[in-house]
Formats: sequence, structure tokens, C-alpha cells
Amino acid sequence: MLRILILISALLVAEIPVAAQSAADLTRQGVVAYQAGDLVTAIAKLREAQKLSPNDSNIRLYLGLMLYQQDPQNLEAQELLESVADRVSENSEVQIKLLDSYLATGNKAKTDRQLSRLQPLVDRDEALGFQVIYLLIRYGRSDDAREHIGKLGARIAPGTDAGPQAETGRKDSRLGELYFVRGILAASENRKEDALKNLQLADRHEFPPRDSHHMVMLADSLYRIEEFRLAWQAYEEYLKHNPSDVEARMRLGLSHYSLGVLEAAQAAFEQVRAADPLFPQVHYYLGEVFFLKNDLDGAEKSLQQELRNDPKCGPCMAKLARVFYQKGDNEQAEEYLGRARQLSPDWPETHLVSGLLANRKGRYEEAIKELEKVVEQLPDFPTGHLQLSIAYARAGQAEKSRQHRETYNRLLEAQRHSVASGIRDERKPR
Amino acid sequence: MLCPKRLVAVFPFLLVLAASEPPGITMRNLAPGNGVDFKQVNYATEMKYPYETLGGAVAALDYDNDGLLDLFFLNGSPSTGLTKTDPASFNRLYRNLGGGRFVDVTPKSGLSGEGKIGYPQGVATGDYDNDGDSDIYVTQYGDNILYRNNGDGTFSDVTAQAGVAMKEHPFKASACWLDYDNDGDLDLFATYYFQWTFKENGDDWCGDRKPGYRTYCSPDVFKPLPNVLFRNNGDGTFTDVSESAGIRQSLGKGMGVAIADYDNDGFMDIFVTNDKTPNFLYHNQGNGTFREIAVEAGVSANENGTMVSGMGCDFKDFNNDGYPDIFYTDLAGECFTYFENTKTGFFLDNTFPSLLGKYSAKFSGWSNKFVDLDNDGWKDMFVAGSHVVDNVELYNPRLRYMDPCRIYRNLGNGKVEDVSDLAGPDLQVLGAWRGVAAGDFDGDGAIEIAVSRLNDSAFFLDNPPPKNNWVLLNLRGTRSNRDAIGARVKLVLPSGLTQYEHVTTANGIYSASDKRVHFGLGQEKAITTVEIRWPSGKVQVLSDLGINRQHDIVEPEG
Repeated sequence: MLRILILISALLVAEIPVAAQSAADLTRQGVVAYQAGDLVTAIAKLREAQKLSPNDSNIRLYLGLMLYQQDPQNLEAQELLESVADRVSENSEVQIKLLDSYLATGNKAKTDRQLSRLQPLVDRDEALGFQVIYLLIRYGRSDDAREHIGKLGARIAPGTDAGPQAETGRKDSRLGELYFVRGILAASENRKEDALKNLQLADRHEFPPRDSHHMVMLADSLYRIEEFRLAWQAYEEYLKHNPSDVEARMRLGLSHYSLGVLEAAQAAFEQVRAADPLFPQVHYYLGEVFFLKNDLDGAEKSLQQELRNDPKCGPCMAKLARVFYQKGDNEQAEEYLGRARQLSPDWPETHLVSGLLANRKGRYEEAIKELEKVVEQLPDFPTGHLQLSIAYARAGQAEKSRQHRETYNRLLEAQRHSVASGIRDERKPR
Repeated sequence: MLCPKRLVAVFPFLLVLAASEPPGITMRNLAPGNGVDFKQVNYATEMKYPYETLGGAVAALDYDNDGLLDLFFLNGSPSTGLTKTDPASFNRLYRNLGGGRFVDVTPKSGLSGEGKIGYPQGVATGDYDNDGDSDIYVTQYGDNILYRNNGDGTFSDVTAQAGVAMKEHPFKASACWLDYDNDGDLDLFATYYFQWTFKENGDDWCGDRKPGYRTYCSPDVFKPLPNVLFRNNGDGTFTDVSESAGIRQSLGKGMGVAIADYDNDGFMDIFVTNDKTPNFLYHNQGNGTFREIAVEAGVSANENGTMVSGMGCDFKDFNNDGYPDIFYTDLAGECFTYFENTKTGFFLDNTFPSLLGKYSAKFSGWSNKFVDLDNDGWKDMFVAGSHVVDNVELYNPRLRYMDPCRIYRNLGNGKVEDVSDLAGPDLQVLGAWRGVAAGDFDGDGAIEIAVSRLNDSAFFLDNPPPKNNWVLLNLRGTRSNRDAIGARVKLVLPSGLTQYEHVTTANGIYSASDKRVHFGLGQEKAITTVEIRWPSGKVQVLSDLGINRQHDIVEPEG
């Protein structure tokens, strides 16, 4: 937002057409509103100005930028920016936003054209080159990103492919950023080893800087490749400088949650909830945390809140069914399970609760059928194997029971190894 | 689920119990004023050796056969050499003089442990040689010790002769006496905790590397071990039958042990809580072998299959349906667990339906016991509270090391109520509580509880004379083992209420309780019948037993 603010202010100071004074007044009022953080009023003023002076390129530019800021997928913003693109062909900020707009709206032809248009600017400006790459990675245009990285690499570290052999021992932020984009590209393609290698190389060059917005890209990449412990550290670092980034805090919570660090996960989710009670799934994950902490009343309350925010939340229904099952309230469990079956019939927890209820009621064949689906979907989920082992044993199928008991024990053992190494490496207590 | 009104319609005797509902359970600590001045010393070091935070055993036994329950406490040992030379490290035996007074008789008894090597953990009591007095088995980090009661107030260390030191691994936890083969003498079952030696693990560092942050390691770090079953040869010696009996095949990190005949086939089964590994239920197959069936029985873990820090356990009939249920403790956030025996060989995890989960989620527990504290005919739950890690607050401010003890009152409808906060100020005292030994120490029919705590004075929780009626049965086997351990007692009251108990001394973790069978009778004025199924298989039916007194019952000959 700050960049757009500077851009608009600068353009405004540069030229206001004398022939359309009233439109100029409205434009100024719009910019003042914008500077005050009132985007809605700003847009309204600019729209009025545009009515008075529909072909005024500055008004079209400002309005386009503001609408873009409101929503990068806004087609009106795209058209307005397109209409002035040639006039500001050297303005990389506008051009990159137009690229973002095309990518956001999935317009491949226009994206390709815009990439060509940007090429001369990119050739002169490495920073812009990186910006283009970040956008391409964000929107999954991996091949284009790779091509741009190759070109940039050839300039920054010619003839070396910017591998470890390019190392000279001194810190080089350009080289660091090159490794960084390679790392996040690899992460976006789930090439975990390559991602980690490049991100570590970037780190040797102290890239990204701890207070930069790149930290969140690093954190997101680590989260994507399920390096939750590293992701958690990166998010925490990023949030020190950007404490109000709710999305990042949510993912920090999810990193903790994925590691089973429930207290920290709860704290992060509670901060998200306080900042934005409507944030998608925040109550659901708080419910999950409460459930795992055996606070069934807390879990029920949070899940009900998520349902108020999102009445079609099938996983919430399934989790509520499990909460009531655990409380011993089969009737309520069945009720929520019925709704979960309608909304998310193939959600693993829907099958799990079906299996648990069937097991409890002695309907072992039905339990086996449901629980087999659970372990098919989640082969590393110990509870599924334990319950399946119980169901098979009670159905008289000893060999099948033994197999799932062994799988359950093996999964527990793997968890133990993970915890044990955690204790030694991370020095965590019981 | 039946509503309460319908329950009453179906089972009219519930009205009698409802009418007899007492105002509450209150307990008051009488120690050290009553002479029980034991203070445990755990000799904790900066090295955080795991055994330091364990132990704290206590036993309630009538060692001198004077009809009064005495108390035996185990103490810590200095980590240097683990040798008891410091008098503060001695174990203590307190003789019950009657009239609410105890006296320390340790020096004469030979139970102080002076000069012995090892760090005591648990205690098991039973008359293994059928000579009419209670012997004592002590588990340790180090070699276990069997003390034979000489019948004159003294004990002799007969470990070497008996062959029960358990030298294979140093770290042991709990033990219990049972007659698994019903041959008339008591056998011995003991748990290994995990593989930990000074040489291999003495320098293990867990926790942050800064002053005060070193902490006790999670058991996940260490390797599991098998448990051990010794068959009594009847001549003062034992044979390790763990392999042939099917015990040794299962690896765990054994903590508490409790026994009961869960399927009523006449043979005692064994339940073991494991620390962060699945629990064991060894089903006694009646032919000298066991099969570990915890998974299919549904008691290897809670319903979610999550591993908890299983600590103490008890195995009694909580819901008076004739089938023993299981209740065990763990750490805060994990919830104490209650498994209801469905009579079909399977158990249901009723932790939350019983409300135990709701009430216990914030607490950590060690030793525990099913015990009818208000004599209303329903066994309540008692728990000694505390976390394992003495600096846990540094890592998680929402947790605490010291907890109060807890009492969960059995409401008679499958649910419990946490009455701890109303049970008197002594129940609010925070401590590193460990062992629990329960019994009727003063003969008034109300159960008292001795609770040990690390590095502090033990409590003797007195239970005021009951408002409800009661009966105590002191069973003596003839063909069966003399302690009658394993005998199943069915008590029928005029209202139709039926209760079940069995003779055992093992409860919780590290602990041993009164072997006499106690029944609360509510406001019932008589007992219709008492049916005893002795371990020998003999069934004895008694009628018209008087209430509010103890009956000494001898197994009929022939």
C-alpha cells in the first residue's frame, strides 16, 4: 500500500490537467482520502472525477491502481491500467501490477504479452527481475519463473549456474536472492531437498534480511515443504516486524499445530481470532487444539463458532461428531455425523467417527469398512490402525487385527523416534 | 442412555442409595502429630537422574498381626553410590499403636535399608511363604529386595535365596503379589521401567542448556523392557517364568500394576500402565501362560490411540456390575482414563462419558485407588497429584509440578463428581505427591489414606467415622494362598444392591494397601449374603453377617 501511495502522490504532484479543474479537485480529494487510509472514499471520488473527465489518463491510472489494490483480480482495474500502460511504459511499478493483474485473472495471453513488455525493463533492473519471478512463482508459472531465473543467474553469476562453486566467501545479497528464488521455486514444486539446499545457500548470504517481507515467503516455502520447525522460526522472525499479518500468524499457528506444540498453536490461533474473528478456519483449528488437549467443551464451543461463520463446514460437523462421540453422547454424534456425511462424505474424520460409533455399538463389519477408508486415506494415522485392529479382533479376524496392531505400533515407534530426536536435538522436556 | 428416573424405575434399590447419599467426603491430615513423621528425601541432583523424581512408595500392612494396619515408607538414596548411609535416607516402618497413634519401629524391624545399595521405587506386600505374616518386596533402581517377615517384628533380606533381585536391568518400578496359577502360594510380578544406566545415560542432557533448565528426559528417549513374572516354588525360592508364561514377549515402560480377574474365569489377570507406550493387559489363560490382549480388549491406549504418560492404575469393579474396570493416571492435558468392562471381554473408554476426563484434564497424577470413601456402596477414585518434571513451569507456564490430591466421587450412575475442593483444606495442599496406601487404620469403617510426597512430609488423611454402614472382611486362605489374594467377594444387600471386590494389595504405582475387603453399605441395615470365590475355586456363601464390624473368614477346608 505504501508503494502505491508514494506512486499516486508522486504522479499527482507531477501533473494535474488545468482544463478539468473540478475533476482535479475531486482527484485531489480522492488522493487525500487515500492518504488517510480511506480507500472506499478515495475510489468514490476518483469515480466522480472520471465521470467528469472520462479520458483523463491520470484519473484512469489512479483509479486503476486503487481498484487493483482493493482486488488484484478486478477487471475494471485491469482495463484502466491497460488504457494508460503505453503512457507509463517505463514505470515498472505500474507494469508489474498489470502483470500481477493478468496472472491473478489467469489471462495467459495477456500475461505473456506483459512479460515481453517488461523484458527491457527487467534487463535494466535486477530488482524488477526478481519481482517478476516472485509473481510467476506465486501463480504457479514455474517454467516461466525458471526461465527468468536462468536469465538473471547468467547476469549475476555468469557461467556458474550460481551453485556452491559460485561462492567466493563474501556476502552477496544479489547472489543470495538468486538462491532464494530458486529455493522458493523448488518449494513450490515440492522439491524439498533442492529447496532446502538453495534456501540454506541464500541464508549464507544473509538473504532474506530478517526484517524484509521476503521472510514470509521463506516461511511459506518452508511450511509448504513441511519443514514446520524451520517455518515456525521464520514466521516468528517475520511477525516480529509485521505483527499484524494475520495470515502469517495463522500459518505460524498451523506450524505449531503440525508439530504438536499445542500451547503455542493455541496462542497463535487465539491472536488470529482476536484480530479477525471471521478469519477462515481459525475457530476450526482452535477446536482441533482443544480437542487434542482433551478440552471437549472448549472444542465444541470453537467448532460451533466456526459453523456460525461457515455453516457448510463439513470437517467441523465431523469433528463435532467426534467430540460428542467422545463425550459418550451417541445421539448428538450421529446427528452431526449425518450432516458431515452430506457435506463431506469422504472426509477422513467422517469415516473415522462412523467407524468409532460402529465399533462402540458392536457392528464390527461396518466399523471395518469405515476404518479401512480412514487408513487408506491416512496411512500414517495411528488411531485409524488401532481402531481397525480392535474391530478386526472383535470380528474374529485375528490376523488382520495383528497386522493393524503392528502398523499402529510401528507408527507410534516412528513418532517416538521423532520426539526422542526432538528432545536431544531441540532439548525439549517431557 | 437411560435417564435417571428410568434407572430408578428399573433398579428400585437406587432409591435406597439416593437416600443414603452423604453430605460429602472430607479428610484431614493427622501427620506428623499422630507419630507418622516420615519425610521423604529424593536427593535430586543437577544431573536429573530419572529415578530421583520417581519412587515415594508407601504400604499399608499389618506386619505384626495385631489387627492394626501399620505403615511402611520407602525413601530416596544419595546418588553417590546409591548407598543408604545417611539416616535421612532410611526407609521407615511405623507401628500402629491404636488410638490414632503410631510409633517408628524401623530400627528393630531391619527395614531401614541401611547400607543397602539402590534407589527404592515401589513396594509390594504379601505373605509369600504362607507363614501368616506379611512379607515385603521392594523394587529399586538397583537390585530389588525381598524382606521376609520373621514374625517377631523383624525382617530378613532373603533376596539372594529367593532369586528375585531382577539383575538383568537396573530400573524397576512397581510389583505385586498374585497367585497366577492358583496353586496356593503367591507369585510375584514386577515391572521394569526402561533401559537406563549410569554408564550409557548418566550424562544425557534434556532441556535447554542454561542454568536451572536441565530437566528430566521423556521416556521416549529410552528403550522399553519386558516385565517379569516369578513363580513361587513353595520353598522360599522363585523361578523366573516370564518367557514361558508369555510375559517377556511384550516390551514396555512399566509403571503401575494392578490385578483382577476381568473375565471372571477364576484366574487373575494383570494390567500394567506403560509410560508413553501402549498399556498391557495380560490375560491369564489358566494354563500357566498369559496372552497380552490390551489392543483387542481396548485398553492399550485411550480411544484416540494417543500415548500418555501412564502412571498408577487400579483394577476394580467401579460400577458394581461384577466385572472389574480400570482407572489410571497420567499427566496434565492427557486426562486420567477410565475403561469400563463391558462383560464381553472388551472395555469401553468411558473417560469422558464418566466426566473423569473433564475433571482431570488439568491435573497430573501418580498413585491412585478405587476406594469407597463415603461408604455409600460405590467406589470413588483417589489420586495423588503431581507432575513428573520439577521444573516443568519453565517450559510450559500452564503446567505446574506440584498438584493437590484429587477425589472423584462415584455418583452410582457411571459418572463421577470432582469433590476435591470440598474435601477439606488438606486436600488443597500442593505437593509432589507419589504413593497412596489406603485402609481402615482405626477400625471405624472409614478408609484412611497415607500419601507420600517427595522432599516433604507424608500425609495421613483421616476419614471421620462414617455416617453410612460398612463391613470389613479379613480373608484367610487354607487351600488358597494365605492372604487370599485373588479371592472374589460378592456382597448382596437387602435392597438388591450387589457389590463386588477382590483381595489384592497392589494399587496405583509403587504402592500397597490394606488386603482386607471393605464394603460401604449406605444406609442398609443388614447384609443378605456374601459369596466368596476363593482362588482354589472353592465357593463359600455366608449369610447374616453383622454390619459395622470386621469379620475374619477362613477358607473352608476340604
